[in-house]
Amino acid sequence: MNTPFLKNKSFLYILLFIVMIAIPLITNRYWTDVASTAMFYILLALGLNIIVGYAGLLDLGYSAFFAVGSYTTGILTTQFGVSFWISIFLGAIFATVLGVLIGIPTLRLRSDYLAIVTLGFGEIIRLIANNSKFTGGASGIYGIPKPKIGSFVFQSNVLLYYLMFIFVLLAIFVIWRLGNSRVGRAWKYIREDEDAAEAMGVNGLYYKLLAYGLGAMFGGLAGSLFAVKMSAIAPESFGFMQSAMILLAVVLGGIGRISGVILGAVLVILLPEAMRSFSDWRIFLFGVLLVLTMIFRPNGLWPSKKETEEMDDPEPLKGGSKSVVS
Amino acid sequence: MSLVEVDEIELRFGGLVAVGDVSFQIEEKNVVGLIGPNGAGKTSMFNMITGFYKPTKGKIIFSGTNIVGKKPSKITQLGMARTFQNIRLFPSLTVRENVMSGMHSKTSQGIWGAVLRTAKQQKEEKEILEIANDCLSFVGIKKYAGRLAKNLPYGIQRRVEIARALATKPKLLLLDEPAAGLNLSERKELIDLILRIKEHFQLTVLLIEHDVGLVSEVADKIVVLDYGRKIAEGLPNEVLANPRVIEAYIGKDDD
Ligand SMILES: Nc1ncnc2c1ncn2[C@@H]1O[C@H](COP(=O)(O)OP(=O)(O)OP(=O)(O)O)[C@@H](O)[C@H]1O
Ligand SMILES: [Mg+2]
Repeated sequence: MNTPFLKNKSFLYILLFIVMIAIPLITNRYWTDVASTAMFYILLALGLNIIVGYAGLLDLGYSAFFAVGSYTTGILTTQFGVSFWISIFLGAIFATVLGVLIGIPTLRLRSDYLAIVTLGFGEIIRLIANNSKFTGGASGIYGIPKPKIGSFVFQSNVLLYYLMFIFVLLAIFVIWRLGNSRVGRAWKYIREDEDAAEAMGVNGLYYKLLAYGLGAMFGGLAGSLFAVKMSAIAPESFGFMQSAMILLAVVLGGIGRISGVILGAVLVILLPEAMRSFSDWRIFLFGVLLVLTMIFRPNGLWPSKKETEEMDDPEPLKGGSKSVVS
Repeated sequence: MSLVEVDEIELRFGGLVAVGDVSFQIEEKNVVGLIGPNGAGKTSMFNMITGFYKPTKGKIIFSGTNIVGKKPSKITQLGMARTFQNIRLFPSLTVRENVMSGMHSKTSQGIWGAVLRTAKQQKEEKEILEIANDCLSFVGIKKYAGRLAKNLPYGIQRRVEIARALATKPKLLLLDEPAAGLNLSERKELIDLILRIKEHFQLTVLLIEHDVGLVSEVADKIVVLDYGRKIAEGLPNEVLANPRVIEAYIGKDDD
């Protein structure tokens, strides 16, 4: 398996890793912030990719889980003096529980209904945040303290960038391993053909709930990090546009594939920045680029692996081997 | 005791009786052919046995338990595997990944095993791969293991579906028109394959087939449906000589 192509690829990943570490050291505050935003999007897109890319469930309200993580950390740290670390843990749990609770009734639906229900759910969460006293209403929550370990405070944006980077690396590790396991395969079977998956003994509802819950968990984690990075959160950060942008990141780079999803998340953040000189035109240009991508590379910019040829058995086993028994 | 007892089963779609009052048994290690003209209710029968449709009346006893109302995945875990009349593979996954799905119900690793790569998980993964490879070899398509299912010719896809079903290590294998769309030599190979499967895995087969010649070559017993009713049951040569069967087929032969 040690083809030159593969070597090139790991070289590419190492290079990318070094660049990511170096960004705050070689650029200014502005670009470090852009890179931090990219980190949120990577985390969010990786989480949504479990739902959309692996399990094939269209979710148009993913920012709801992002909101739950953000508000959990926002409320607990400012009003109850809870430490960030406990709040991020609880935020992830709340998001997961909410994901499962929403999933139980909706995941029985066919995918087009699911899209509508999740869209509505995302809006409901935003409206609750906008109209409740404990979430600070339309003005939201401010003065969210920076995380600290002992007396060490993640005060600067550089330190926060690295904190997020660690979470992103952890997420990549966990999601990559999940994707290449019995669980990950079960998701892909459901995505490909739910009835056939069920016929092969895959409990569709269970695995869809698992995908939904885990996806929600990563959304919650990203939300908590967002809250401490921004120090202030407000309902408008969690609307449908947010859900749409995350979904875009997943689809643009190469749905279902971790490297593709990361690329998509980076592009979704970087392209509008890079086109800033076009001012008002940039969103339009961005849209045109998107449409072109979808026309010329419908599976995303960096789609999944290709086929491989294999040698046939040297001697076709007439009787098969003995490890298969009735 | 029979492996499967279908007991006065009925399936209605609104006013239409797709299957009405059908009973038959499948003895262990037998190949039973299920035949009948188009729309006779054969696939509906399959869907009820495998849990995709819930019968409106009657019982289906599999290995001593009534499986009516159980989910298809649960029934597969109990030891049944099926193929579909219109091939239903996982199109953009590789042939090997397709066949690995069969081992899902025979393994148990969840998220912790996957993330931590525990010893038990790795052992299971190895076993899943081994069985998948064995099944691919058995049906003679090992060389396509790395190809995407959707890019393969029809005849090979049929075999992938059979390999995938075998990988669940079933007691009962249900094949819905496996010979449909195959040419003469492919049909011969298929007959050979079915007999080899039965021999090697010592399993029971329920086979839906339009090609009466093919069925009579492999089946120990044939059940004939027409308009959702059972019109004959017995040894292949008996059944095919039965005037009601001949009438059902000639009366509206359409292929
Ligand atoms: N999901 C469904 N909803 C409504 N009617 C159905 C459904 N499935 C099957 N039927 C009807 O039930 C009857 C039996 O269909 P079935 O597919 O079981 O026949 P079959 O014997 O498999 O035919 P073929 O040889 O064409 O595959 C047909 O009249 C069909 O239209
Ligand atoms: Mg049919």
